[in-house]
Order: sequence, then C-alpha cells, then structure tokens
Amino acid sequence: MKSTSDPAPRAAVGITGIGAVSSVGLGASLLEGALDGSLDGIRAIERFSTEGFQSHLGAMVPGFDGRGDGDLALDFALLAAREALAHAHAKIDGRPGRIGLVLGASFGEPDTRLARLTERLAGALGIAGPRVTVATACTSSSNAVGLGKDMLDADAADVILAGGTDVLTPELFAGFHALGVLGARPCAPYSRDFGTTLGEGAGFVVLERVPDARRRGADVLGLVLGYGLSCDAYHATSPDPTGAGVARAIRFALSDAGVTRESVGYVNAHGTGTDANDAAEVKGIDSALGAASLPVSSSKSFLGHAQGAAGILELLVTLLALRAQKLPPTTRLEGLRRGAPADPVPAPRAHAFDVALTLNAAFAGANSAIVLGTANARLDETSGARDVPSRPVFVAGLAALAGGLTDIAAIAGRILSGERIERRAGECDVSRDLPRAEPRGLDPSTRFAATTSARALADGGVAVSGELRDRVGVIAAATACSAASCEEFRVSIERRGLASLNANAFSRLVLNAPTGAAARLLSLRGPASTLSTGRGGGLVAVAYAASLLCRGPLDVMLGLGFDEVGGGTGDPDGAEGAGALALTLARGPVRLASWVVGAPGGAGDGDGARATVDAALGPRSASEIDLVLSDGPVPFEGARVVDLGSILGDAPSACGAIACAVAAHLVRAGGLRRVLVATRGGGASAALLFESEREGARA
Amino acid sequence: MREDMMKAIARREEVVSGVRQVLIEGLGVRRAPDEIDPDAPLFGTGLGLDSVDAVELVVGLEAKFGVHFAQGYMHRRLLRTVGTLADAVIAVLDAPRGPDAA
Repeated sequence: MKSTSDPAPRAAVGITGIGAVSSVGLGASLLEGALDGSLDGIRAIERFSTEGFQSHLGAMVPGFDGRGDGDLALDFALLAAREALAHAHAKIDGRPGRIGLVLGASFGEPDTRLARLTERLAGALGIAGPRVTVATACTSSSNAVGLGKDMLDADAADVILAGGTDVLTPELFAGFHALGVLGARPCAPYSRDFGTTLGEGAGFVVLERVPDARRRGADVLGLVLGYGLSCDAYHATSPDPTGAGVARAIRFALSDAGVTRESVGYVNAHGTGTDANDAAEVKGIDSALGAASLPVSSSKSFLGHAQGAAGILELLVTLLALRAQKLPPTTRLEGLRRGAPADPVPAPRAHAFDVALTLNAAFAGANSAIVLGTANARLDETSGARDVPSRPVFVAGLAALAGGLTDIAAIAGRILSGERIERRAGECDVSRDLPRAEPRGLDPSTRFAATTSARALADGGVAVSGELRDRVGVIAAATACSAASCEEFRVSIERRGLASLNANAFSRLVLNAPTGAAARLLSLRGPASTLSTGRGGGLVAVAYAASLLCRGPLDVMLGLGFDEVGGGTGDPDGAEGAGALALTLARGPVRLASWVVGAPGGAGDGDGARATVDAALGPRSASEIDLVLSDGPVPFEGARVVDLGSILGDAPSACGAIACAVAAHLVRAGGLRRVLVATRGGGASAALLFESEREGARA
Repeated sequence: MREDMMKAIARREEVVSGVRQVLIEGLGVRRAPDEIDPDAPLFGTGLGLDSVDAVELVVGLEAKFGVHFAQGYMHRRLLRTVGTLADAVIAVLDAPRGPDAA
C-alpha cells in the first residue's frame, strides 16, 4: 500500500511456504489427503457440552479436547505459522523489519482488541515488519492473503506471512445454532441435507515476490495472481440470493489478476452446506464464469466451516490441487439438491489446469475471490505482473465525528487550538443522515460508521445509485466489537442460557458488522473490508482504500475508522468517534499525494516510522510541509506536529481517520498547502500526504 | 355480551400488548405500542423484521409468557402479525397437556 511515482512492473507474488492446523490434524501436508477424498474432520464435539442443542458436531482440531479455549487461537496460529516459515526457510533473524504479518481472525473475545492476537503472534515469531489484522468474519483469512500480496506490491515488506486462525467456542456454536444454520448431520454441500458444521484451525502462506524468491533459491509452490472483494449490501447474515455479490468479487479478482474467465479451471467454493449460501454462490459463479462444465467443489465437507481460518485452509487445498493437477472432491455427496453446481466433483480426479479460484463469503455481506496459479502458469505476459498505472487520487468528501461534534471546521479548530475534545460521541442520530434507515438493531459503532460514511459521500456530492453502487466500496478500521452489542449478547446468555441467546446481537459480534451495515444502508457494493492495527488503524484503512481505488474498476472508495467505548473494561482515556474520506480519481482541490504503510516505529535503525514518513514525503523536503497531524509522537522535524491523541483521547482506529478528514479539510479550506498525517502504529506505521491542487503542487 | 366472551377479549388484549412489548423492548422496534397494528405484517415491508428477528421473537415470547413452543410449532403462518402471534401464545397457554402438546 504505497503510492508510486514511477509505475513499476509488479513482480508476480508467489507462495514459498505453507502451514496448517485443521480438523484433519497438524500439518499442511495432511491436506493432501483431500486429493484422494480420504479426509473427514467432522465428529462429535468433546471440548464442550452440546446438551440442549440440535447439533452436536464440529470439525475440531484433534488433540486439544482437554483444553480450555483461552489461548487456542494463538496456539493454532503459532503451530501453523512456524510450519509455514520453516517450509519457506524464511529467516526472520535476517531483516525482521522486512517481514510482515497479515492475520485474518473472525470472532474475537468480546471487549478485547482483536489486534492483540496479531501482536502476540508477531512477538512470538519475532516479526517486526508491518502487522495488520483483517477482520471480515469468514472471509478474513482470504482477504488477508490478498492484502498481503498488495503489501508486497507496495514494497511494504519483502516477506509476508498471511493467513488466519479461529477457534470454535461454545458461544460461536450457540450463535450459529440460534441462526438455525447448523445441521444435525455432517456438512454436505450440494447434497440433500441442509446445514453446516462449524470448524476451527489455522493456516498460513509465506508470500514473496517471485524474483526475490528465485534469487534466494526458494521453491515457488504457486502464484497468488490477484484477488477481489465485494459487499452484498443486502443483510447482516443472509447472502444476497441472486449471487450478485459473489459474481462481483470474482470479476474484481479476474480483473486484478489480468486473467480471462475462460482460463479458470477449477473453483473451490465457500460451499457451507446451507441452502441460502450454496444456491446463491452457485448462481454467482455461473453468472461470472458462465462455464456450465466448470468443476466446483467445497472442502467444508471434510474441514467443516473453520470461520476466520476457512479461506486459508481452502486456499491450501486448492494450491495442493494445482500442484498435483488433481481435483479435491466435495465429499459426502448424496442426492444432489437443486441449485448444485453442474460438476460438484463427486470423486477425486486428474485435471489439467493452470488457474483456480477460491471463494468465501461472510457475515455483513463480505465476499472474496482469490486467483491462484501454478508456479509456471502459462499465461500471457500481463498476468500477475502487469504495470500498475500511478493514478492521482483526490479527496471528494470528508466527515468526522468526535465528542458530539460533526462540524469539521469546529473539530479542526479544537484540534489546532489543542483544546481537549469530549471522549464520548454523544447521541448519534441516524435519521438526519440516513432518513430511510430503520434504526432498529444499529449499535453505536454502526451509527458512527454509517452516519460518518453518509456525510463524507454527501460532502463530496456522491449520490450512490444505479450502476455506481457496484463501483463504490468501503475500507474501515475498527478496534473491537461494539461494546453495546457485546453487552446485549452477554446479558441474553446470562438470562436465557446459551441455547436461547440473542441471535441478532450475535450477528453483530464481528468487527466488520458496522462496515457491512454502513454498506447496506448506503448501497455500497464494491470492495468492503475491515482491518485493525491498534493505533493508527484509520490511516492504514485510508491507504488500503486508495490502493484499491487505483486498481479499479472503481469510482469512489471510502476510507473509514471508528471506535466505540463502553463496557466495564475500557481504559479511562478510551475515546470514541469516527472519521471518513471519500476518495476518487476525479480531479479535485485536495490530492492524496502519497500513502505509505510500513514497519511500526521503534528506536534507532529499526525506526519503521521514519522510513514511512520519508517515503511519503518523496522528493519534498520537510520545510514544504505546513502541518503534521499524528496520534502520538512521530519522527518529524521541520513543521508543527499536532498530537491528536492528547486532544481526542485513545481512539486507535478513529483517530487516524479523523486526522485525515481534518487534514483534507485544512487543505481544502484554502489555508494550507501540504498536511502530513502520520502514525508510528500500532502494528504498522503509516503516513499520508494531503496536498493542495491550487498551488500547482503537481510537480 | 356474555361475560366469558368479555374475559376472552380482555385476555387477548393483554397478550397483544405483551407481544407488542416484546417487539419494542426485545427487538428494538421504534414504535409506540398502539402504532403497531395487530394485523399489519411483521416481516418484509411491514415492520421490516427478518429471519434472524424471528428467532429472537420466539425466544422473547417464550420468556415473556413463560411458555415453550414445541419445535416446528412457530411456522411462518403464526409469525405473520401481532394478532397471529397472540393467538399462537393463547393456544399454547390453553393447551391442556402443557405447551408441547400444541
């Protein structure tokens, strides 16, 4: 995620190591069993009681039944990550600051910051490069692989460990049970029996630019050619029944990879086994790929639905299939249901193919598609290594919410005068900005995210309707699930028991729930993602939004950050609010001149933040910067640095986004030529430069 | 009007009011109780409830009225309006051999 002044050819990104922990056991090589149809990880749950439920099955990682689930997500991740790094022979002691980590995780513990898991994992592995948590529920780990590839494209690191981890807890089991999607019998996608079986596990790939990998003599196991994200903008937990969201993700992915739909030889589907998912997904595949004879199989029939780890485990199965030139079957096929794929791969078979797709779909309407290729995929020369044109990005609109203030001039005034802003955001009424929204079930995080997004679009004169809906997306930074929804969930369990918990509140316990709700309320059907880096997350989200906008085909990308305080565990300086920028390629008065994400700040040579700031400045000297906005100390000398942390309080994800909105406002309002927004991080440092177009700053 | 009929009407009123309370307090429907028409559809274009709300509605009614709906009892027809829900609750309350007989 970095703007480049010279359009350089993107090197293809390859996979040089893999690791997995799954219901079929420890080790990625076990997944090869998928290719002879011999795997079955689904069995009765023994780690916790399932009394009172209509399903008793899980795809649990064997050997951990006697354990509490306290640190299992970290334990699974450590096992899989160490295997992947060892497999790649990636030496962490070499340049730890050039190794990054992108971790997909889904349901965090209520009231805790999801990025903490990533930081603990990075600490245990000695990874000192940029670390980002992707939290898009069941597309988390696939989105993580895509973002990891982007980070290599942007030279944010030389090696990226990307994947995901998730644990099946009693609360998750009960939540999905309340939603009525768990089958009494094992998950059998496309078969007569409806319903899914939840699972767990972890998986990782080591990603490197292929020339780097070849130079150090590493085996390239396969290529990540490209990926696509989309949002259904339909419902919190039900997929768009037309499959249009899945189709959009596939089209974005093919366009990103530069491959034709005819070159796709196999699709590893999300295939959860539920009626709603499978029927919609197959429609989406048919509409985007159109080949009636295309083999489509689901690995959930033996891996279960490993949630945040589902995408990566299924990607690994697909990678092994490409290497063996053999198709993994949908096991347990019995009595094909209506709407099943024409070729669900009932038995393993040899198959010649160079390109495969893996699909995932998630709560809050998130869809992802990843295009994998064989290491020597015979593709035309543009594939996976095409030029990325450097396209100028402009700020169309902006909005912020802090301490009950929504007037950007007022917020900017308080920040410049150093006057402390209230920690609470106050009542956030959605009816003013979203007059047609049904306010029922919108927790404070969702109100913050949706109203701020709506105002940023309105500020930019963007009316999202018609075909534009498919070309507008949103990338958000979030820190934790809504405290209000966590409390509602907890109280429902306390009062009514696990088996009768509040399914509505449960559906809001994913970090991307507010992002998905905002997308639904505003009809944003382009790419949607939610990430977390702890401090500075808002900057990373805006940078990711800018990077996706440049690759297109998109018209507007929202970069958003929000925080909500509450619950008994928050720290006293915890603050809430939101900030949003609507970015566009259409020329305007404020240009986002550069965006850089890198290793987090440190001391001395390891100071990633200084390198990040330097890269964002590019050829400009520090004296050409009028003002720096930060969320803590940043390495910058030569202009006034305003620390928003002391003014807004601790709002890890919102602060950076509010700073961007204020910076763009100060440039647009005419007074300032260049404002730099920077953070040391968190998991990653980031720096974004806002520049006035009026001053002829386009040199 | 006969006295038992009056009683039955009063009781139904009471149950209807309880159902409205579950909608407002349990599901967060932003309407005053008398703005929720007993015959207006709850799902789709009516109050805008969806399938996840249906689960919450059933659990909320069970808690409110101290009843238990046998599995499969609360099918789509009974979930149509406040009125049909009230009838379903009354039927279970009046079931001679406990709620599971309904």
